[in-house]
Amino acid sequence: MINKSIKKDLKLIKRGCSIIRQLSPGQIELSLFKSVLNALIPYISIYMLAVIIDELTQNRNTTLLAVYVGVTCGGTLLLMVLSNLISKKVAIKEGMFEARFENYMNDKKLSMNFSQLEDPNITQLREKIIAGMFATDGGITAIVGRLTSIVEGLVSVIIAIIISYGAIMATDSTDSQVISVVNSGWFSLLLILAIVICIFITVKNSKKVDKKVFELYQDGATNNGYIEYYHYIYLEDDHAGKDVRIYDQKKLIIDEVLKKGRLPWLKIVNGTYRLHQQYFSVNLVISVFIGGLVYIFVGLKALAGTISLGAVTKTYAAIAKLAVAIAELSVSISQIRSNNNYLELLFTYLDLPVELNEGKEILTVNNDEWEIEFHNVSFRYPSSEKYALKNISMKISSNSRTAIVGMNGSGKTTMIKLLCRLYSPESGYITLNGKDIKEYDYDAYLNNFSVVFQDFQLLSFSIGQNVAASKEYDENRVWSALEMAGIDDRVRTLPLNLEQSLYKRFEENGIDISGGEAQKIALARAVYKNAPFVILDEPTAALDPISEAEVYSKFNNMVGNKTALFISHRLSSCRFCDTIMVFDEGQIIQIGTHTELLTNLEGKYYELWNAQAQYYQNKQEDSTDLNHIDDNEYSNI
Amino acid sequence: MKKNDEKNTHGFLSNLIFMIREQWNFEKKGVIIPFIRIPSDIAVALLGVLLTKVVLDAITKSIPAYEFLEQIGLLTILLMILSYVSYYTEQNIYMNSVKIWNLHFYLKKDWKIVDMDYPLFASPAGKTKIMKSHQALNRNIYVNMVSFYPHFVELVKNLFGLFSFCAVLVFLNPIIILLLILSYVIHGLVVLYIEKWEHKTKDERAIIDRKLDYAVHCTSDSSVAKDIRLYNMKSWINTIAQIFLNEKLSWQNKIASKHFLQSLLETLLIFLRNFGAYIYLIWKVMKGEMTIGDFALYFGVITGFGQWLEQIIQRLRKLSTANHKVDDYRYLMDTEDMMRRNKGALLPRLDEPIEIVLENVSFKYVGNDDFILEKINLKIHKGERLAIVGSNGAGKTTLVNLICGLIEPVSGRILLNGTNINEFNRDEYYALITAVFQKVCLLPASIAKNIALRCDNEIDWGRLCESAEDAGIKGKIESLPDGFNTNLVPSVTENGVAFSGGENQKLLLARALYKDAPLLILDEPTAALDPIAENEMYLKYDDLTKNKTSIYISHRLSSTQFCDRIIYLDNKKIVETGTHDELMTLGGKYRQVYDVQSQYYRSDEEEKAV
Repeated sequence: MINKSIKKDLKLIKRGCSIIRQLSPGQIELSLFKSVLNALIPYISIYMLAVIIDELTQNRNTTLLAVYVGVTCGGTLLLMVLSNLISKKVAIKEGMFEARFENYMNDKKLSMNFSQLEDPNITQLREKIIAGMFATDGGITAIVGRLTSIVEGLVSVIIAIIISYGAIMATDSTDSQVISVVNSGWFSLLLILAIVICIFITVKNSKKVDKKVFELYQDGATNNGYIEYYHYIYLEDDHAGKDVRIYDQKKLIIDEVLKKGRLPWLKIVNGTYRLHQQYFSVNLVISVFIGGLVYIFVGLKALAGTISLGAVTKTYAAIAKLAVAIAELSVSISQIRSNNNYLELLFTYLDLPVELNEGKEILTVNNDEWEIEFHNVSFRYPSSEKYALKNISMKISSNSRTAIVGMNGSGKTTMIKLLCRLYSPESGYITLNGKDIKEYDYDAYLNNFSVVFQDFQLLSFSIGQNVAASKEYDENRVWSALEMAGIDDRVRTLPLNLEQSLYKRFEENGIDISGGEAQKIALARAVYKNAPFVILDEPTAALDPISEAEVYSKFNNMVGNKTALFISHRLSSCRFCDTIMVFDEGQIIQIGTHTELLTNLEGKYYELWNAQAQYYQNKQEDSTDLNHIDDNEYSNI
Repeated sequence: MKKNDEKNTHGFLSNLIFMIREQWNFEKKGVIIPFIRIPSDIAVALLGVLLTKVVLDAITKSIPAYEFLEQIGLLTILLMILSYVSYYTEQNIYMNSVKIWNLHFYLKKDWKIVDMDYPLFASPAGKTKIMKSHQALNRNIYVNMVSFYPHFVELVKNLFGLFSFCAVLVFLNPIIILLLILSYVIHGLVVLYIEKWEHKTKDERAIIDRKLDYAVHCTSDSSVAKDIRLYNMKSWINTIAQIFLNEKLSWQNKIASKHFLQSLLETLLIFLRNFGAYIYLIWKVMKGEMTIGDFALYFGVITGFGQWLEQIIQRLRKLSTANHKVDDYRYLMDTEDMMRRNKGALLPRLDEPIEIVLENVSFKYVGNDDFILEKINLKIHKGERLAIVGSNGAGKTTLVNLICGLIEPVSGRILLNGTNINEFNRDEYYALITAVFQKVCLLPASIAKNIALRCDNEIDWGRLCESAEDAGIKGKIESLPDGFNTNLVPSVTENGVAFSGGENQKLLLARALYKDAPLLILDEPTAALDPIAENEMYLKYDDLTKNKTSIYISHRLSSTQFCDRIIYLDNKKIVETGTHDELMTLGGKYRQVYDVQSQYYRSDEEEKAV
């Protein structure tokens, strides 16, 4: 049972070490070497000082003394220089490790399934890993530290025992009564027993503190989230700053920061110090007590003439170090084992299966012969009871333009997400040219889609890179894509043109752009990709009417002979499309052309269209009475 | 250039007084406790070296066993008590630091950020101040600005310790003191040089860290994740991360090399110190001028003296870092508001609509030559529903920000019921306005708090339900298991939910309705709504604006038709003003935009006619 858990612990640590080796080669080996040196260095002086004192009290041989001093100082100097040298290398590796590890974690995140990214359980798992790393120094970063302190402790304990063994066990038969008591084996045993008891208490205290601190930090993860959110997102945000002032949120915010962030954090940190105060102060007193005890013991032996003066100093120093080393050793061992809790979280995360990306078939791009078909596709978001899509069956063929309309939450965007394999259907399947899309190679499949999502994001890198979505880009193609999206003139006025960074999060001289401008750059990105299948999700939501009209008029150009799918709340855009699908509560309730659909006065499409169109029709005659629009007026459309 | 009275450095003494005063006002014991530790700590150090001497002397003199027991026992007990006191108070010092850090400095800084004038807050200079004050306070109490006072007391302790060991060494040979101090002065200079270099290069390194951090964390938003997959951005992001990882590595190398040189020097000093001490003391013993006990004592004192000196250098270094951080913190706290914070003009009644007049109002950002608005003249009548229209970047939001009193005109004035708005107390003026801005900013707290923006005990639940109902979000909220107590921002809160774009917009509307002020401002409140919800909003608009003055900004010109008046902003100016019908008849810009937008909604026949 116990054996098994040790085996498991070792396995976890081993795997952690192999990740560290991969990210930062040599860090473990060098750190361990350094810890051996660090353990060794103080004992040179401790041992040699005793030798010097003995020589001074006995023969006083000048040459020998000179040699001893040389060995002490020179030996220490040599090992310390060596240790400094290694420290330098270790410091570089340590300084880099956090960034390297974050990059490693990010890499995992980039290749993860999208559905996993949105899964709150997985998000929480990742938060816990990060919080463990920063708040409690737990997880992968802790392994090297714990391992080195274990090695240092072990080496220190062994040398201390070797050094002090002789003096403590020394016996000599002499006549005086006091002296015979002091020199008897029982006396030595008594001392050893006292030391063992003291160390035992010390170790127990240390472990208790360690366990309680671990418990304290256990629920600290979410608290940290509040602090981070307020400090790095909310309080620095210009938009939030307006809300804060107009709505006088000051008191609420400070109250929330205090109650959800500061007080819990204070409780954890000061709880830790209070534990230290309670238990470690006792440990300190015990270690002083052991020192006194050893002095009395070896002092009496020296008074009896059994051991030398040198033996007194070195035994005292060695035992003092022994007590500290054992306490640290035990803490480190229990810490490296409790650290495995964090490691397990990390490995669970790293081992998450990547299921959507398994297809192997390479898709050949061909603009002419496309057919995408949904076969009875249903889908629910994880942790949701309600179907986002229910029994969707439909066909989209090449060279067609399809519009998808419907109310908020009717499943339009979800359909796109399934098509782009960000999620996979719960039941039913999607085929491309008759073959289940899952069977195609993931990257190759996605290469065929140019998508602008409603909540698209641009990164804070340069405009050129953003349009090309890569570090290298073809300037001419970027310019023509920007022109197509109608933002080339604006970019030309920028001092750095294509090299201009967006926003200020990366480059300080980055420029802030409006939502409409961002949307145009996102459109340019889709154009640059030049994929045979274009999907636009609310592409003009943030644009003013003129820009909107511009985008529409260029839409034909942009799409060319590609297949296009179009989601919009502005139904005016539907008139460009060959087919309109009306989504409602996860189902397709109407399919047809604009004219066809408008003839059905009971239909959803008519309702949606009318809600908007009423304000734009025959305005001059009918501007006052909005609530009573005569349906017949439009029935002839 | 604006005259700048703020200092961004204060000097050590001023910072010391500042920190003591802050601590004194926060908790008096925090000033005193650190000093208790000084005598006990020095006594522990002295007794430590004395103990060895007593033991060795006793043995060489062969004193009786009971006398030996008595001496060592007494010393040990004394050491135990003093060590306990020293450790116990040390933990108290830490706890005090954590307390003032979390409950005073952090909160004061946060308060300053939410309380300072908006233009100061939003300006690049303000952002720098905020960032620096963050950095002054983050990390832990051993390195941030809170460490200033404890480091200072420790420095005092080390000086006392040094003097006490000095007193012992004077009996041996005063020259030794000089030699030791000289060697450590050299060491100290090197340490301070490196510290200075690190401080100087701090900003440069911070930039690389920030960029690397962005490259590694820009993916944290799951909406980016979609784009990353569709556009295969992985290698792009990785390339950039790798570039900055390499830059960071080269900095780490430089830092490590400097520290290596420093530690090498330190090692050499320790070598020289120990070597010299051994030779000198052994020589003394050989000459018979010194017992073995004295040998141990003096060796301990010389080592200890060195350690005090070493400590002093370390403390000076840390104190200098902390000193910079106190400066950074005060840099933000010293920022003075320009707007009126004291008692201002009497506010109009909150239950009556207000009148707003803009006279020749111009605005541009500091350090920017281009005006965003130029000579705007506008009168918004009591109870009027005004629509603002114009292309992206025409200055609509800026105009609203000016009316809100968030920013101040460069020239011209804004009057509210005839009183210049800068004569009102800044915060009292905000009470007159309720606004829905474009961007959704949510608190990681309950829906109730997000709407009312008040602490739990100040929330009027009846009004809360009513506002949610009117905003058309009540049904959604009540369908959630915890209703109004459900948390938002799921990335932070437990069991939190995320609303869709349309739902968020309705939530913001509920927020505005809850506040219920005489001036209602809506900036694109329907952009994320579907046609039906949008239409519902329009139909309700009459009700929402009853007994209020209102301003409505939208790209959807359909919405402007139920406003009393429309102003068209173009090229920094109001170019057209009138009702929908008037502007249509005028046949100017507004008409042009309206025609563009409406053409797709008309039947083909009508289109031809236009």
